[in-house]
Amino acid sequence: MKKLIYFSLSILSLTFGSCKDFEEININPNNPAIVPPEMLLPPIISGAVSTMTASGGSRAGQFVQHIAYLGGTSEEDGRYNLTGASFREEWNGAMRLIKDVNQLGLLAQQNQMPHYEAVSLICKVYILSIMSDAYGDIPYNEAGKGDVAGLEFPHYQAQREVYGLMLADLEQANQLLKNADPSLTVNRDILYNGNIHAWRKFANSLKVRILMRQSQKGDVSAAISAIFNNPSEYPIFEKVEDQATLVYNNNANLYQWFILNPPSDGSGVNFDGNDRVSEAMVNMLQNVADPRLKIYVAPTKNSFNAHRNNPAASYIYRGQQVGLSSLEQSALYEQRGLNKDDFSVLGKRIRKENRAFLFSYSELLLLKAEAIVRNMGVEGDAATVYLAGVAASLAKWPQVGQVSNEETPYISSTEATIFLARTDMALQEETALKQIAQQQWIDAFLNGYEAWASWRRTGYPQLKPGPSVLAPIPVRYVYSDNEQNNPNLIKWVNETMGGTMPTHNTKVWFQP
Amino acid sequence: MKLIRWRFKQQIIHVFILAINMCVVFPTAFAHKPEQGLEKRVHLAFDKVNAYTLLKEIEQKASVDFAFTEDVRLDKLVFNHVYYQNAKLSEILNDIFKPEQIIFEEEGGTISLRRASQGIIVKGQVRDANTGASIIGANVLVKGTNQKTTTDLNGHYQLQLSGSQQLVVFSYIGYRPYEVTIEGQRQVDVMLQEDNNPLNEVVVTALGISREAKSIGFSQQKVEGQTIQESHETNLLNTLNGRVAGVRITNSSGGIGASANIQIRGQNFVSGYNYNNSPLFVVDGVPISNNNEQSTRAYTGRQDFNNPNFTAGEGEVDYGNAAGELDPNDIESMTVLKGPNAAALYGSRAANGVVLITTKSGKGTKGVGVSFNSQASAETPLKLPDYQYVYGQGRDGEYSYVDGMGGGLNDNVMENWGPRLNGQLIPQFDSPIDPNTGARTPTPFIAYPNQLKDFFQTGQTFTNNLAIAGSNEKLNFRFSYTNTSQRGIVPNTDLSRNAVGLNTGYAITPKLKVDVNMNYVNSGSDNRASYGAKNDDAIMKIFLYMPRNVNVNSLRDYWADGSLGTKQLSPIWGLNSSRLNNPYFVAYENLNGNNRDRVYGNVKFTYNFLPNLSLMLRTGRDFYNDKRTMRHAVSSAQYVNGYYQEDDVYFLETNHDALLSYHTKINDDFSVNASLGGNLMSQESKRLGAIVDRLSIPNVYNLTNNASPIVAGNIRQQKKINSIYGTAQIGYKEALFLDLTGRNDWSSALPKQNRSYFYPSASLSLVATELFGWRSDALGYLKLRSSFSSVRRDLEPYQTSANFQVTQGWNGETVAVHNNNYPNPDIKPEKVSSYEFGFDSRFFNNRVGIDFTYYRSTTTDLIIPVTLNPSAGYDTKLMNVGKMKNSGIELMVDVTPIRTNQFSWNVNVNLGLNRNRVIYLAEDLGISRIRQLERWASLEMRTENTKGDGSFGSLYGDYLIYQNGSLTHRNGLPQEENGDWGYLGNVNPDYTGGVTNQFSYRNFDLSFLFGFQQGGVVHSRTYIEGIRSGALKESLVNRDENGGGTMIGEGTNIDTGEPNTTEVTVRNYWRAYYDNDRIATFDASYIKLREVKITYRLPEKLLKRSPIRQASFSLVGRNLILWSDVPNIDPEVSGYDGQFQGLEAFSLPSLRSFGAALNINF
Repeated sequence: MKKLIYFSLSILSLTFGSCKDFEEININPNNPAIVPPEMLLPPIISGAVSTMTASGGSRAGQFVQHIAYLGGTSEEDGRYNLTGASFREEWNGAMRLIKDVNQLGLLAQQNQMPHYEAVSLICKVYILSIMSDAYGDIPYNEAGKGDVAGLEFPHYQAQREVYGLMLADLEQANQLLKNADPSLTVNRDILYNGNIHAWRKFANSLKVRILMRQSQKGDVSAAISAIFNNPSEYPIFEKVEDQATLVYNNNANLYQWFILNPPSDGSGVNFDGNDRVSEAMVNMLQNVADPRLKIYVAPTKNSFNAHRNNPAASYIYRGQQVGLSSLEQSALYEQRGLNKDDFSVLGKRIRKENRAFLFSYSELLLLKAEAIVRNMGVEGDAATVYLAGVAASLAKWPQVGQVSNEETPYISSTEATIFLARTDMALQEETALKQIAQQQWIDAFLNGYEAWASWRRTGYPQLKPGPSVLAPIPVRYVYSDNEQNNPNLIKWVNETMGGTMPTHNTKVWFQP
Repeated sequence: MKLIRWRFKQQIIHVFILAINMCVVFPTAFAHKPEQGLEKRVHLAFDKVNAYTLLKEIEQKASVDFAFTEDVRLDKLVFNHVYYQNAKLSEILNDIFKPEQIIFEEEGGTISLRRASQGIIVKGQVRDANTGASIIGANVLVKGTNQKTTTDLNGHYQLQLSGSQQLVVFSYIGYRPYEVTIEGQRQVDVMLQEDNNPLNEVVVTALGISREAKSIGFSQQKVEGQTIQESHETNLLNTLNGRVAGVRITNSSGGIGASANIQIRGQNFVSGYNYNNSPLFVVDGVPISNNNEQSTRAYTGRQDFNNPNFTAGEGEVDYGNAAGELDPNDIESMTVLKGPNAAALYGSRAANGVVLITTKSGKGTKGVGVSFNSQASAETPLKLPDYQYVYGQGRDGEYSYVDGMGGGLNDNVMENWGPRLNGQLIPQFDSPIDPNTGARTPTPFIAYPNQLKDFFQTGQTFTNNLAIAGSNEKLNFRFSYTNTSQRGIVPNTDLSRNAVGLNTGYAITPKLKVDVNMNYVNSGSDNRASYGAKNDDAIMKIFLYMPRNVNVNSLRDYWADGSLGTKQLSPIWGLNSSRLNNPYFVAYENLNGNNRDRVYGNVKFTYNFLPNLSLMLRTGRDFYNDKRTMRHAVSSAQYVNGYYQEDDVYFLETNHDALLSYHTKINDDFSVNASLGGNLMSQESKRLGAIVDRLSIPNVYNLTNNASPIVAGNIRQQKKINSIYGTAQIGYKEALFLDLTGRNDWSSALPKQNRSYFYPSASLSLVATELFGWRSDALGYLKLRSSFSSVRRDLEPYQTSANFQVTQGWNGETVAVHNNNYPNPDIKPEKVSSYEFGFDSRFFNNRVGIDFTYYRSTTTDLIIPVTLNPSAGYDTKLMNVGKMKNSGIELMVDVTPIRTNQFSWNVNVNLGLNRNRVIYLAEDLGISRIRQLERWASLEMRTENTKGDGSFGSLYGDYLIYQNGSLTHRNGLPQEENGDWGYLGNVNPDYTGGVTNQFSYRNFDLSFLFGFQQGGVVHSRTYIEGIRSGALKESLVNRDENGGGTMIGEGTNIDTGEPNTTEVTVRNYWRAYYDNDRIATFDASYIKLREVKITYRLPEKLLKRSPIRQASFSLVGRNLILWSDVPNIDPEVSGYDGQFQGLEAFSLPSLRSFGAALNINF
């Protein structure tokens, strides 16, 4: 019996004795519980930018006819046969970033780093503004907070409300950065290289975008003029260099869709795939000899090869008509004696030197021109601001080397001057809003979200749907099918939309 | 006179010494070897004489010496009428002294006398009559008294008898009791015969304790080692297929070394351990791993099956399940404990049941025995897709070949919607090229019907096993070596396995015994076949796209002309467009090798304080290290610039056990068996992986040959569980048994406040035939059993605190993201409560046996990584949600219709049925469905109030839209619903089972095993892709003479409701029609002739003069015939490495095998 007791005791002591190190054992050796806040920044910024640039080639960029698919190759996209599954990654990827933005904000607060907190607010607004523009009503306050008990299924908020919250967050960022020690820098900042003043300009410029976006739904004059007329309180972009541009390093992991699989045939242009520049874009540029053509658009493969064999042969730029079925595409080939290599793909410099324009200086100036035209109390001359806006767009691809060549084309100042001096480029009073919107559409090339939102707000340029599309040009992204399980979304739809999940033809709130 | 007295004294001393030292008293004259002195004959004649005088008279007459102890009191003994004429001394003494209780014995010429009233001591050994092995713990009982003992570690016993003539009973569970009358013998050796009476059947239960089957209160089923060995399966799990009621085995593919998935009584859990519904595998009392550690190309870490969208990348090579590589040759028996009852002793991991494996130990081998077993088999595909041989490559009937890159007309499309194969002469990719003009000489455009058959080779499996075993009283050992070498049906795929096992036991002292069991397995492959629906190396996928007009033999030289080592020869290979891998190129260049070392075993000490109190201390380990490499040569479809990956997988589990066991009999009716134990379990796993996805120099496979940054990573995991457990069995009249167990675990993987958890079990077994005396001629045995248990289960480590994932990011610098799978600091252990009822019965002299079980288990607090909505930011969050129920029945029927001396026929039927119900998830949080896995179709669990049948294993997917029974169209094309997915069926069968027929005639045995499944669905991607690519027969409908043509689909226009009138091309129509999940979801019912076996045992007469003790020869066929309505594939398949039940995704076909085996024992 004694032995039995000893034995039991020894087992007990062994068991409890060795429980002591349990906490240590269960510390994850693979993933840290805490990281310096700046480590979160590159994925947030590059993720946000990927979200934006992805829209350039598919969906938004294609709805707004920057890009067109070869007929029949993608029934779903090209002819608008769309469901929630079609917009899955657009929503899922972006929303996933918000959790890291929230973590960045938390870490910044814990460590009393107001500049990181401001950056987190700006990133949140940038990402969710894209989401709201595309999807309409979204969860804003509760987005990305699945870690908090009870918020696993975020509640939805109306776009009107979301816009207000975004403006408030940007204002908070503006104040945080205003009061921050100017010597502070943001580490691992791949967008502005740590310059907090540049972030402040970005924040206020975003405010302009958001205000103008809802300008058809309410009077935003006071808020707009307050920004444009008070640069010390609301510093905004002042030059091309201020704009929010992410220059990729062509790092293997960070290729964008349009430079995937760089060709090895020496052409420098990947002529494969089904993405072509749209007829609308090529025509718009060609009609006024816009120098951006040689940057945006590559010559057709056939003309490129012809030129290779015989330098006398000239390059041909030809856009693809949107919304063709495969039968219509074949008919088009037959009728015009063409094949798929007679339609232009993206320009070589864009493919080689991947730049993403989150918010261009040109866009800000064009918005300013619009505000002046619409008498919102903004100081300045609309025509001058408009031309400055176009000039800023021409300057987006800076000079490389001494002369513009085939590999790295750029727009020289001479070319720019000649172009801007064209009489048909000057802002005409009766067509001012149309001209501004068209320039915005051209400038936003490969930023599908922005061009599409602008088009939905202003109606320009006037786009003609393809001949055999299955629906009108979409004006909304459909909630990701994964998201459609969210009980709070279903509740929201029941309460505010009569129980019908919005489709890609349901207008969002900001649209007139 | 003096002299005699002196001699008497000396003898007295001697006798005392003997008695004290040896505890032995000598037998009477009936001792079997009479000594010479007692054989002498004398004449005696006394009317009255005292004993002293009498003996003196005899000493003189017969020249013998007497010695006696004082208590004999010779002076007081007086005998009347002692008359003997030439009588044997022994007879005389017996006559005279026996009535006086005096016994005598002769030793060294001296006859000693002593009183028998002290009792006598008998000793001897108890052994097995067949094997000669000593039996430990056998009961020796003097009938009608409470004198008893048990045999020691060598089978020896000693028993004191009060009288000289006693009836002694020798008994041991599993043996027929043996009664013997002892009349003074000092040495009684007994051979016990094994007993097939179910009352005495013995099974190994939890913790390796042998128990009488009649005392077990829960369902378990045993498969004999011989059956396992003769199955010729290289994956151990497959040997159970169709043999055990309620156990479902699914194979991932017919690739060598492929995984098999095992499930007992359905799915109780949703997630957790990486093979979450696998039972626990226990070898000789020590758990071993059945992990399925795969590698993925997208990410080198452990594949995350909790992630419903395969975002971590799907595995592409199946490295097998860990328990599959145990050597069937070393297995004595496998016992499947089906319910979670066993968990109460083995811990949480046994909540899905336990597969107890007892290895051969060499016990019972007389002297040294050698056995040799050799098996060889050939494998061919059981079922191949039904291809069409009418139309070739192309689209809408149009095709011309220029370069396979799009230079011609549709020469780069991976489709067979091309022109009719009429033998027309056209240039093709393998047409001879005119050296002068460089033009291709047209060749006939014809079909090659045997593409796949030409490519596949006959698989081969050779297994040779040599075992040496021996035993004596103190030592038993068995050494075994097995070599298995296999080649797959895909050329250049192979598998080899060398297993060495040593199992020994040694009795250091009669009380202390040590057992050592060590196994070393080295297994490896130079190349394993690839799988995966998105993997361009998957052979079946290649052949679904292979132009029907390609002669596979022209692909054998797999490098393109003039591009040796830099570009593969392929009919379709675009620079930036579609590429079809040459299957030979894949087989010989894209190699997936591995080499795995595994060591498992244990050391066990048993110390018997008392015959009924013993302590066992044991430490066991399972360790493996797997080195893997994956290569892709340049110009591979997926990796044009080549690819190289290395993975290092390490796993170690250690178990320390201590177990104190006590048994006693309170009185004649009640007995108690009790054990108290503790276990320290520690698990450690490590992964290290590195990927180079572009090579600098072609065909140099080294991580430093990287043209892009190396992607590398590692993962370490550690977990410990400490446990205390106890068990008590109370027996009443050997016919009613109550078992109680309890276990408390402390798991390091749980948060501190929930770390400790207790779980109990109780079971009752009632042998009605004994207890109530129901036994009759018809009913030989009836046992009723019932049990209840409640098991709690922890989870994998590091799931209780939030963390950041740190990876290489922008500019190759380290970046962090908050883990997409959010942990939970408040997670509780999940819980499964179950009960079962059943009976085991035998009728008509064991000719009929029926065993039936009904069970029901309820899982609550399920630990589920709940899929959140994307707007929550996290993919999943770990929660305790939901309640799920499994209930079912298991039936085993064993009938012997004929049994004569020469011929017997035995039929064994087993049937398992399981029903699962998801009672609720977390509707209050909005969770009414949990997605398990998705690859096209989605495997989900949903509650009853949602679409589907409300059970685990429901399959959902898109489907064609019918309105009022007519198919809807838009623009002439059938319309599918893919927003809100439809219910396609449940992948779990209604029931499964097997039927074995066994015939024995003289030295021949013949057996058939049929396996079947009724119900359940299987989703076939081969069907969809094969039709959409125009490769399968189903795609032939409506194609015109040229392979093109148009059609108007029957049905309505979805927008107008009018009949559809829009004409579309045949290709486009069928591609749209078959582009949904429902159309390829089939009833998975099947019947398989799983095994046919003929064995011939050489007659013993023949072997008498040879050193061979036993020899047999057998022929075995496996998976011979399949009856099923599922087109193109074997429905008994699961996607990927076995985890995606009910989905087929271009896996290699299952195999039919024919083999022969030779078994010799020396």
